[in-house]
Amino acid sequence: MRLFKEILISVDECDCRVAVLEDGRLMEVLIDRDDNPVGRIYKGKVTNVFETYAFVNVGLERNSFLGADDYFHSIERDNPNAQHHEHRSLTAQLHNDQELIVQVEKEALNEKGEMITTNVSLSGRYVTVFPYGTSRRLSTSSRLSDENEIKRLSEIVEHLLPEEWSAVIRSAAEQRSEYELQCDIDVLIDKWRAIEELAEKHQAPYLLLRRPPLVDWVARELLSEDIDRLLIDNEEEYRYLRENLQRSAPNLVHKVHLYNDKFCPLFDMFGVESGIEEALQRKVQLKSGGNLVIERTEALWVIDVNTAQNTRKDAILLTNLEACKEVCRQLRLRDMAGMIIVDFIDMESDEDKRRLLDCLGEELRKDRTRLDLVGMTELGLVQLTRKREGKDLDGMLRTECPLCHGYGKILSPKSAALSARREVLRLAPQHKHRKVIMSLSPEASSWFDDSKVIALEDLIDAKVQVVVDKYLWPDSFKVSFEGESRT
Amino acid sequence: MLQEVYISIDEREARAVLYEDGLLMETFIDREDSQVGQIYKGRVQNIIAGMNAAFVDIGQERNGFLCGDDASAHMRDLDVPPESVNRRSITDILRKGQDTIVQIAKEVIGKKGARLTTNISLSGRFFVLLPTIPSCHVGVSRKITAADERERLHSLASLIAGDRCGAIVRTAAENCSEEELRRDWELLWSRWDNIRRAAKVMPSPSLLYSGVSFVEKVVRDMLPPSCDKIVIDNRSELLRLQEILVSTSPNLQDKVSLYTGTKPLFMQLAIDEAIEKALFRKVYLKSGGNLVIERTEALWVIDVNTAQNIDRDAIVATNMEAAREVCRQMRLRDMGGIIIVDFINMESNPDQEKLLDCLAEELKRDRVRTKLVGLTELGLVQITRKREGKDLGRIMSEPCPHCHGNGRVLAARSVALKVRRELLRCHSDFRSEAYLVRLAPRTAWKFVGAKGELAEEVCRKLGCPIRVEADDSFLPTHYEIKRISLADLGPALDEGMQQKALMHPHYGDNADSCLATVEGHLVEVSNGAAFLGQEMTVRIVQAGEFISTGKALKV
Repeated sequence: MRLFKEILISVDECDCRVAVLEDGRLMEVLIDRDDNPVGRIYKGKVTNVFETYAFVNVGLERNSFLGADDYFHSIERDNPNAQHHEHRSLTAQLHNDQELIVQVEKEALNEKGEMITTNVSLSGRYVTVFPYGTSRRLSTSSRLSDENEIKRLSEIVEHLLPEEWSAVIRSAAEQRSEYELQCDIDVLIDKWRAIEELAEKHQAPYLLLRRPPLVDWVARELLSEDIDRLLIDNEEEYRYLRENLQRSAPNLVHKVHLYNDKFCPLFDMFGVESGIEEALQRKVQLKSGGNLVIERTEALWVIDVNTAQNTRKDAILLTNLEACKEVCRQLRLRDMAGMIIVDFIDMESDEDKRRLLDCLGEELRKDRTRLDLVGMTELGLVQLTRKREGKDLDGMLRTECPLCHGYGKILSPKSAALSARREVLRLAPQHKHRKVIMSLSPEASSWFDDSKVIALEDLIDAKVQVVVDKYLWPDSFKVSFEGESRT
Repeated sequence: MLQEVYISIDEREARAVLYEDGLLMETFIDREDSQVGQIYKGRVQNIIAGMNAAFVDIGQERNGFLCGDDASAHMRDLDVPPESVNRRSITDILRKGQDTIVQIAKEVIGKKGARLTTNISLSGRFFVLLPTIPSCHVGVSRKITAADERERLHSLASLIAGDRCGAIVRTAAENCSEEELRRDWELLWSRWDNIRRAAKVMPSPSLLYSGVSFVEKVVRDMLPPSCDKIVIDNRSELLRLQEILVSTSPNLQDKVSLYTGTKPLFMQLAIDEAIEKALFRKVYLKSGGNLVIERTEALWVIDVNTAQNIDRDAIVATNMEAAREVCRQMRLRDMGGIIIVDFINMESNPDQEKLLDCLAEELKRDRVRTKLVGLTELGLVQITRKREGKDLGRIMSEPCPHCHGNGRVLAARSVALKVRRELLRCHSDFRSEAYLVRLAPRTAWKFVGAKGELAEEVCRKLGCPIRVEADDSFLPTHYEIKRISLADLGPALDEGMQQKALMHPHYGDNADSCLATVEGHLVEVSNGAAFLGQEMTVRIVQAGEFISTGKALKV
């Protein structure tokens, strides 16, 4: 049974958002805001060189990180004998203040700077080119399998590609004519010449190339024969997209439609708005009554699978299989990356465990992003890794909670009240004032009732007044003293 | 190793801590709300055969929950026919309306009632008495590994137990004399005798036994047998403590002292601070790295990070230090269940083995049962630790009301965009003359734009004016949209006017400025960054429709 796949694009002055739906279910969300540096090309200046890595200033907030493996990979073709790891020291290759053309590979994570590469690449619809070359002149996407077709494409590209460049032929190139490939490569050559010109004129650090707008990216990467339709809600972008496709992929133009219902915004019409909201929640309900709890930690993502109450033993496998499909959908929807651990409901039978892993393997194949199903640990936890492609949905839309600083927990009002009480006990002997004022949040003050106030007054032999301060957060308090000092 | 125990008891809470060589290792906090261990005479309310469970009224708001597996005890003290002994089906053991002695095994969590068991256990210093289990069942803690010591304890325990009941010999009993063991047993047995007698005369439901006193728990669960120093700040509890020590560990009697200083004990020794630190997400290592400790629904995750720029030897050293700190934090926070540690990647196998050996060695010092499961394919270390009631974080904190425990909230920019979309949608449904939008100052700033240009654009799109009101009491994610009439738009601020306002942080291009609200108007205070969080008098320099600029006046 084939799924009905559609792409929705909503564009306005502030941002551009893309949703991918399969049979009406929200599967992926992409949001473009100008601040993502991945893919940008910079002229940078080396600031520190170490054995295995170097820092390069490209003008971003923090210095960017260049790994040695990456650096040597990209210069390998110049020196095919330099294979020995012990000789691969960056300090011999780079020096401070040296200028380099680099591309941002990964976004800054936590406190680290952006990962950059000297292996600069430009992607077209049919080929990705490496103007500095790589160890192989030509390679082909693993999704291309027909030997004759690979041979045909290789001959065409070999002929069109500048001498020192390398290229990867993408799967979309299949069945494309020489003219189409030539258009694609010519655009990339022009682009690179422009970058080189800019690099010559300007001093490092300098931004040489921005990311392409999201609409272009969608047209190139997402839109294919496989997609049933594409709806876009902005007339200007609609015209631009069609013109663009007319040149690069005329066979897809008919799939693009303008959505111009004034009364219901596109994303509301297809339930995307509420879908995005759900994709940020910790808890995801399953039809079987169970649920997933999805949490991100510093090191990895943790997904806990829970059954509904009173689930019978034979329903456990079914819940796990349902959870498995939903986990895979959530991976794409939230764009989770890095290590992911799933704690499925414990199953004793090895047969059931194998079925679960098979199902997971099957579902994961639908994901565009590279995934590795590592397997089950001794404690029955399933380990996966998913390739990082920039910020996840949560990182895009949300920020650390200012109240709990991302911990998800705050000192309970009771703890806060007790801390306030201890503070009073600590300060009272030093001050000997007549009156102590404890300012507490409404939550904490409701716990610190009259009997506790009286007990505290007896202890310190002074009047205690509890003031409710609605601007105080539940985990904080203030203690002050009033009146003449008795000492 | 120098071991010290400090105990602070007052009307509101009882707290005890264990220091080893000057480092806080364990905390024990009792706020009189833990019910685990309480014994009740309860009445079976109903039996659900399908779940193999019964609900038992123990006089609390919610009925207790008794699973068939927990109800298989030998109930020789109540009128249960002998043939039902050790059957696993609940319907064979209990019937509706029957009275039974139950103990709380797990506390009320969320909406579930307390989990009950009829397998009563009474913990002493050296024994866990199992009065409902026949005396042929005497076990020895798995933590005692020496075969001859296990043999000795087993035969001693069987001798002491006679034909009375089953028991488990606790780890602390290692190398203890018969005399010490016997004293502990008799104490527990007389306690059980009292409970049993009470059960015969008391009505149902009623509380038969409210658990052990705090100092007794400290002696039982925390006090190391060779403790060097015990300090307590409460005179009457001191007496009780000494009384217990006489019968359980007389060698520690002269280590006890009373604290009489004017400053509270935990304040004096900076223990309060150390406990609060034990709740932090981040723990700093001496080597410059850190641990990030997070609790999720399924498991605990500990991430080990290095300081920047370090070589292989330093990575091994940081991991070793982290391993010791991880074990300390497990005890300190009383973590339970699965714990996953993401150490810094080390390629060499000998290094990995060294790390696992170090962990195994450190885990031995934990009195709670732990198991080092080993490395997963991704290089994560799996450890399990027995769950024992609430961890420190659960006692001291609660889910954040702002983000509901997520730790994350919609960014101000996302909220601003959401409000914008909602406003446009709202206008296409019901037209209005004008709108009022109320937001927190930061969100308002994202909504109107640095010069008010975004708000102007919204007005053009809507074809009607809006008024943006910034409100100090709004959280950054809260917003309100109202339809108003043109008359309600209100006047702009007067240039030159002065008013008091709270200085809010601001993340714009100008590092010196901050945000404030004056009569609901958003004001960028050009020199405000120096006074964040303070109330200042602000003079309006330039009044705008959506954002005004002002200056904080120095006092």
